[in-house]
Amino acid sequence: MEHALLTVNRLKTYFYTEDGVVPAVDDVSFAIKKGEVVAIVGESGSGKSVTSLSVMRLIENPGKIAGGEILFEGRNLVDISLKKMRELRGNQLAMIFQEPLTSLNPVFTIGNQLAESIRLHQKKNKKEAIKIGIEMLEKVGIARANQVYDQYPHALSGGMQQRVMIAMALSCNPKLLIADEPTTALDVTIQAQILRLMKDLIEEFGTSILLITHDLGVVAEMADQVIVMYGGQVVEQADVFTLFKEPKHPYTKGLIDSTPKIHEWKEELNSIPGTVPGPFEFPEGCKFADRCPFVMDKCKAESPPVIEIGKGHVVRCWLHGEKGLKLNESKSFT
Amino acid sequence: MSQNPLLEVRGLKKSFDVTKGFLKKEKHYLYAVNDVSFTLKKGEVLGIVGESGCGKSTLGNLIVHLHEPTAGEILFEGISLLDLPAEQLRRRRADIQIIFQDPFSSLNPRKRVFDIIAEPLRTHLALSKAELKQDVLHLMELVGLNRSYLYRYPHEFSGGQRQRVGIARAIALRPKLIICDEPVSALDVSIQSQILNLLKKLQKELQLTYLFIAHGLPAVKHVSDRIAVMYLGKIVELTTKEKLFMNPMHPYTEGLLSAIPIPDPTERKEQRKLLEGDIPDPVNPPAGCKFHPRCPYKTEICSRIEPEFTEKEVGHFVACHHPLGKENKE
Repeated sequence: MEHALLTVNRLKTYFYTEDGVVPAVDDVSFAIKKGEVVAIVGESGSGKSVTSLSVMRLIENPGKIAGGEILFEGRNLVDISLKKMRELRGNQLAMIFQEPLTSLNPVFTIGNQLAESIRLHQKKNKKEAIKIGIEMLEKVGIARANQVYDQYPHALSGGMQQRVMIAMALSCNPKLLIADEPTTALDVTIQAQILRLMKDLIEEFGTSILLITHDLGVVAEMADQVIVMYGGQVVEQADVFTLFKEPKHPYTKGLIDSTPKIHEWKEELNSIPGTVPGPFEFPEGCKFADRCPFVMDKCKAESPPVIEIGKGHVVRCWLHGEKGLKLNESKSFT
Repeated sequence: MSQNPLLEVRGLKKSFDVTKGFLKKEKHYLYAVNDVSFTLKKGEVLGIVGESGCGKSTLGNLIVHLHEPTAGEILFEGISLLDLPAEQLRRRRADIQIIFQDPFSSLNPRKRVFDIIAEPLRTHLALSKAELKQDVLHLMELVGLNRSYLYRYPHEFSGGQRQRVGIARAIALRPKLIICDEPVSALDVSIQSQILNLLKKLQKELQLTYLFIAHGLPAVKHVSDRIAVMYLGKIVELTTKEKLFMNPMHPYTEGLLSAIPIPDPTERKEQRKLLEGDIPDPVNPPAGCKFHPRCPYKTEICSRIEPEFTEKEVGHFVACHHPLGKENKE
C-alpha cells in the first residue's frame, strides 16, 4: 500500500456566526497519494471550498478548525505554527483559485510576481529567478513568454491569467496543488486547454492535485478518486470509474443524471427536486432527506453513518444498511 | 414555411467607441455585433451560443432595445422596431421580455415578490387589486413558486427560486418573444435542469418564442429548435440542433463540441482535437475569416477573404471557406 501524501482525518471546520454554529465541514476524511488527482464535487454550500481552504489553513474568523487532523507527509497541519505553515504554502502546497484576476496583484508585472515566489522559496538570485520564471511561463504554454513576463495582469485574457497562476503555483515544484474551480470562469475551449495542461504537468512533475469543482464533466476527465460532498459531509467516495458506473448515493446519482450529456436527446432533463438548503435549514437526520426520492422514516430521524460497501467505496446513506449489505456487488473492483 | 416570421433581424450591427488616449487621434471601434441576420418563427426557440465577447448578449440587448443599433433592422411582426415612435415602442415592449443571467442583481432587493411580478402588469394593464393578486398568484403557480412566498423579499430565496421569480415577471404580460440571456449559467447543476425543464414547459404551454442565449452548447441543446453559433460578432453557423450536433460544418462548432468535458470517465479522449489559442482582441480582429488564426483547416484564402454566410445545405447556413463535410471528419 502506497503511503498517502495528504491524509485528512475527521476534519471539522465550523463557523461561529452570530446566528449559531455552521458546520461547514463536518467529519470529512480522505487521502491523496503521490501523483493522484482527487476531486471534491458538490454544489454551493457543500463545504468543498472550505475543505480545501482548511488544508491550506486559510480559514478566517469566525471560522475555525474545530477538530480532526490534516496529515501532510506525517506532519499535522492543524497543529503546526503559522510560520511553518507559511513555509509550506507556496513551497510544498500551492493553490490556484477560480478567478485568476483577483489572485494576481494588478500593480505588479507578471514577472515581478512570479519571481517573488521563486526568490522567496528557492533562495535564487534575481537573474536566476527571471530565468526560471520565463521557463515556467513557457512550460504552461504561453507564447512570447519573454514579453508576457513584463506585462501586467489586466493585459492578459482569462485563460492566460490562469496559465500564469498555474506557472506561479508550480514554480516551486509543490507536492500538492489545490485547484479550486480552476476552469469555472473560463470559456469551454479555454477550459479544455487548461485541463490538458494540468494533466501534462501532473505527468511531468508528479504533482498530486486536489481538484474542487461542481462540474462532473471535469471530474470524469481529470480525477482518479472522487469525493461527493453535500451539506458539509462526504456522502460518497470512490474511484472515478466506480463512481460514475455505480453511484450508490441518491445525491450522486441525481448529480450525474442532471449533468447534460451531449449525445442524449430527451424530452425532459433529469433534475434533483428542491434546492440546497441554507446553512441553518438542513434537516435533522440525513441532510439530503428532504430532496431524496428514496427517503424513509429512518432518514429523517437519524443521521446515517459512513459505511464501506466496496474497496475504497464509501457511502453515507441508510439505503445501504449499517454494514454495507451489497458487498457482493463490489466484484467489479479490481 | 410561408408563415411570416415573428422576428426578423437584418444586417444588425452595433459598435462601441473604445478610443483611448488624450488626443483621440485614432478612433477605435469594437464591433460587438457585426452584420447579423436571422429570422425567428412564432413558437420557435433559437439558441445563440458563443464564448465571452462574441456579442451574444449585446444581440439580445439590441432586440429588447437596451442598446441602439449602429446599423441594420429589427422587424417584429413585420414592423421595424427602430422606426417606431416612443409611445408605440413602449407598448410593443410588452410583447418582448427578457430573463437575465444573474438572479441576484436583476431583482430589486427592496421589493417583495408580489411587487416584482406585479410591476409589468401595473405598468401595462389597468387591473383591480384583487385581479392583480390573482394574476400574480397564478403566475407563481405556473413557475412553481409556493404561494406563501408572495410577500417575501428576494434575499430569502436561493438562486433557482429567484430565477423563477424573474421568469414569472417575464411571462406576466404573455409576451410573444422572450430573450433568455444565460438564464441558468449562474445556477447549481441540480437546479439548472429544473429551470431548463420549466422554460421548456412554459414555452409549450404558452406558445412562447425564445431567443435563448448561452455560452455553452449543453445548455441550449434541450430547449432549442435551431442553434446559431457566434464568434467575434458574427454568426458562423446556423441550423437545426440535430444537424449542429451530428454534422457540424464550421470548424469552430466542431471545436466547441469537442471541448465539452464528457461526464463519463470511460470516454476520456486523451488525444481529442482541441482548439489552439485564445479568442482574438475584438478591437483588432484578424483579417479575412475571423476564426482563421485558431482554425486547424485554414488555407491561404482564409486569411485574406472573409467567407460569406451562405446556405450550404438546406437549412444549414455556414460562413466558412472549407466547411466540414461528412467525408473529412473523423
